[in-house]
Amino acid sequence: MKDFILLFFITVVYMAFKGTVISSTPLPDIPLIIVFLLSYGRPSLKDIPLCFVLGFTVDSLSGGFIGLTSFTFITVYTLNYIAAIRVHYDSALLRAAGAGLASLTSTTLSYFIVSSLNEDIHYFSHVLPTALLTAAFAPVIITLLLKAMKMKTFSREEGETF
Amino acid sequence: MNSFIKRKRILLLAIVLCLISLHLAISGRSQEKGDRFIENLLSAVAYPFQAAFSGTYNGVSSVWNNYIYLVRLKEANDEQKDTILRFVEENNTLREALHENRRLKDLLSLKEESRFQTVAAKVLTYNISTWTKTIKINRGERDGVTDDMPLISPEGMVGRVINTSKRSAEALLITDPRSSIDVVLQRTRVRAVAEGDGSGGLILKYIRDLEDIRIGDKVVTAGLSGIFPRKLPIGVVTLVEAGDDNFFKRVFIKPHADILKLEEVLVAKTVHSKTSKSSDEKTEER
Repeated sequence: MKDFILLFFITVVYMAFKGTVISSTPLPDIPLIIVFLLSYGRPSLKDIPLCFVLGFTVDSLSGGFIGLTSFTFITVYTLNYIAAIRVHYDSALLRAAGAGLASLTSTTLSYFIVSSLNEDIHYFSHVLPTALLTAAFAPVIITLLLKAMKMKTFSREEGETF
Repeated sequence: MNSFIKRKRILLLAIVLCLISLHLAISGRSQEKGDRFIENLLSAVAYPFQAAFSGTYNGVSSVWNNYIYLVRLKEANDEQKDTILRFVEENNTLREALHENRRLKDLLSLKEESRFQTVAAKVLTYNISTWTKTIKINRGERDGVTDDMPLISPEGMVGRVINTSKRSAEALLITDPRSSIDVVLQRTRVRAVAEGDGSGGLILKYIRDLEDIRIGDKVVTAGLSGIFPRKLPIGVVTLVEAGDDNFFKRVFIKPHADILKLEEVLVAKTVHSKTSKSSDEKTEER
């Protein structure tokens, strides 16, 4: 529960910062990095509702399509959880690559849903810069999050399996 | 069966919540009225952080613009540094006041000329994500702001209110893909629907291939929906393409208002569309 509240508040503060101070410049997607960390860290049943809540919070505070980010977060979590069976994110480079790929997956999914509602949107606005920034900052942010959450071990055996 | 559910419970829960999220996204539940308790709650939680960041940012940028940036002049003017610093500081303060005065004057003149009751609002946050464009303003229900009220800047139409809380309101900008405005081209009087393209511009839809549309044509609101007042400037045509179906054109518009630099806007509280319509029609008849 502590982690739930902590991650929720990190997301709220991030969204408030993004909306006020740096509104038009791409930023590393911290809520997505949280989802990425949860998916390969200590996966458990409560992560899925957490991903839903984080996505809902992002959508609500960004004025976006409610449910869209929840959908992409849960999908990214699930895909990455399956991928993490083979890929062990134990180096900074792999974490950066994984987070970048998660960002691309998330925005591509969003693109397909939004374009199904409105056909005339452009794919590449902000997508690549956000993915690159997310990848670049992911290792540092993950380390800070781990310290904040006091997560010490990363073992697939601790989590549940499909 | 039980063991199957137990083994696959993460996957099953993920599928269920994925489907619920997808349903919410596609059905556009956020547009429904009276069903925003959670969103308003989240907005209330975020408000103190937004206000704090916004206040700090404005304070720091004000200090930077008014003092630190100009302190460099001191180095170039050692002999008269005290005098120059004082003058520069005074000058800068006056310049800031002048800019603010001009901006507020523009807003005020728009307010005086406008055919509707308005309330001035400051932009609190910009939510410019990949495909969504919204802003939060510091006026809400207690100022009489309600859903669907149009937002206007001195340059023209900016957006409309989509969600209100007591102290603030969220507005959908005209460049958001969910925004849809009935418009008319000033030169040819061709009517169309302007939708946001999600990347800073708008697209005109349902314009037949036969219509005469040129780059530079001005686009204004048609006022048919009853939400937006008539004849408010939207933007100018920047590109005209043949559509994929050879029936409708694809017309791109650049908005008049510099949407990413908005600081203050007017919320049109009451649109006297009937009065303005009749007077407009009389003028046209003459």
